Amino acid sequence: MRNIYFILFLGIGIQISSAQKTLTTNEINTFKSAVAELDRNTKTIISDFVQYKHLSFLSNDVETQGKLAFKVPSLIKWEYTSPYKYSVIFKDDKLFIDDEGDKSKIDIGSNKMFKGLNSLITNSVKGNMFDDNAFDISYFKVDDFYLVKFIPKDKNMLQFIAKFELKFDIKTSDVTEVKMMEPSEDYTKIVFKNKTRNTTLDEAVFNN
Amino acid sequence: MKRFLIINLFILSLFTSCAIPTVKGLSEYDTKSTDFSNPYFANSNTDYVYKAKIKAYHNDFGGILIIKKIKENKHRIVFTTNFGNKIFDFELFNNEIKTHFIMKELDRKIIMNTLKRDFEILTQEHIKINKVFVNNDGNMIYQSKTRKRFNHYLFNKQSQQLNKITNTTHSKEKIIIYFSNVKNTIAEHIKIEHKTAPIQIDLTYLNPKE
Repeated sequence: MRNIYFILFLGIGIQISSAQKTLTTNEINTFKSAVAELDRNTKTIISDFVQYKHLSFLSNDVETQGKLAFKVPSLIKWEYTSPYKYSVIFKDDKLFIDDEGDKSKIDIGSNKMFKGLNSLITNSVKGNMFDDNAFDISYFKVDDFYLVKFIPKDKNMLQFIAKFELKFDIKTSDVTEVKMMEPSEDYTKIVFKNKTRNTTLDEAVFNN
Repeated sequence: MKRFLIINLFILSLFTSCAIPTVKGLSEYDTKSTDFSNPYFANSNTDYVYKAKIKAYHNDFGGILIIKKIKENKHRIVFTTNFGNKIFDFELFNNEIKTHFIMKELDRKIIMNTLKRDFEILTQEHIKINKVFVNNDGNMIYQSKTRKRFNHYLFNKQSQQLNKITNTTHSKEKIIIYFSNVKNTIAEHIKIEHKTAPIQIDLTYLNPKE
C-alpha cells in the first residue's frame, strides 16, 4: 500500500490547440544538443509552479501552487505552499515528507521502479530526458515553443501514464510546462514560473 | 430458583450484547418522518475538494480527495497524490460501485469493500429512517438499516447540523464520521474513524477561492 506514495510527480507537459509541425532530424539534434548543454551548465534550479489537476467531471481544475529547488546531482525539494503546506525532498534514495508538520521518511533505494521515477522527476525538471529506450519520443514545434511527447514503454508506468509532454521555450531551451495524460485523458499540468538557474542555493534547503 | 436465575442472566446478557452502543438506553422518539437527508455532498454544482491525511495500518498517506455528485444517488470519488496521480477513481450509484481506476497495489477485495462502505456512508444523501432516538442533550439520532449494519445520524438541534454518522453492527460501533466547521452546507473538516481497524482519514476542505 505504501507504494502509492511513490507515484509522485509524473506530471509533465503541455496542452496545445495550435497547429504543430514535426521537427526534422536535424532540428531534433540541434534542439537536444541545446537542452544537453543547458543541463551541463546547470548547478541549481529554483522555480515557482502552478499545478492543475484536470478531471473531466469537475467544473474547475484543482489548482495548487508552490516552489521547487534542484541542486546537482539529484537533490530536489518540491514544496506546495497554497492552499496547503506539503513538501517532499528527494535525497539519497529517500523521500522526506513534511505534511503540514507531520514528518515522515520513505526509503526507495531497493525499489527499481521508484528509482526510475526519481530520475524521471529530476530529468523532467531539467528537461534533458530524451531516453529512447524508456520512451517513444516525438518532437514538434508549436508557435514559439517546442513540444516533446513521451510515451512510456514500461507496462507498469502505462497503468497510470498514457503519455506525458514537455513544453520548451524555443529561445532558452528550458522546460516551461509539464503535462501527464492518464489513460482516461484526465491530466495533471504543471506550469513553471520565475524559473532561475545557477543561483546560490544553500544545502540546508534540502533538510527536512 | 438457581436455574431461573441462570436463565434470566443468560437472557439479560443476550440482550446487552445485542444492544447497539450508539443508542443504548436512549428513548425512542415517536415521529412520522421516514426520511433524512445528508446535505454535505448533495449539491451537483459543487466540486468537493479535500486535502486528505490517511493513517492506515501504521502507514501515512497524503493526497487530495475529490467528490462530485453526478446525478441523483450517484457520486464520483477520486483520490490522488498531492502530485495529481490517481490512486483510485470510482462511482457509487445506488449502492453499486463502478471502478474507473485503482492502483494495482490497492486492487484487493478487502480494500475495495472498505472504501465502498466508507464513501457510501459519507455521501449517501437520501436515507430511509428505521427509528429515531433522542439523546441526553436533546439531539436527534436517526437510525437507518443497511444490509447487515445500521447508520446513526446525529443531528444537532441547536446548530441544525448533521454532526456525526455512526455505522454499527447489532452490537458494535464500526465507523464514525465526524463533521465540523460547517459553512454553507459544506463540512470543512471531516474525520472518518474506524473503531475496529487502525484506519483514520482526516479531510480538510480546500476552498477554491483561497
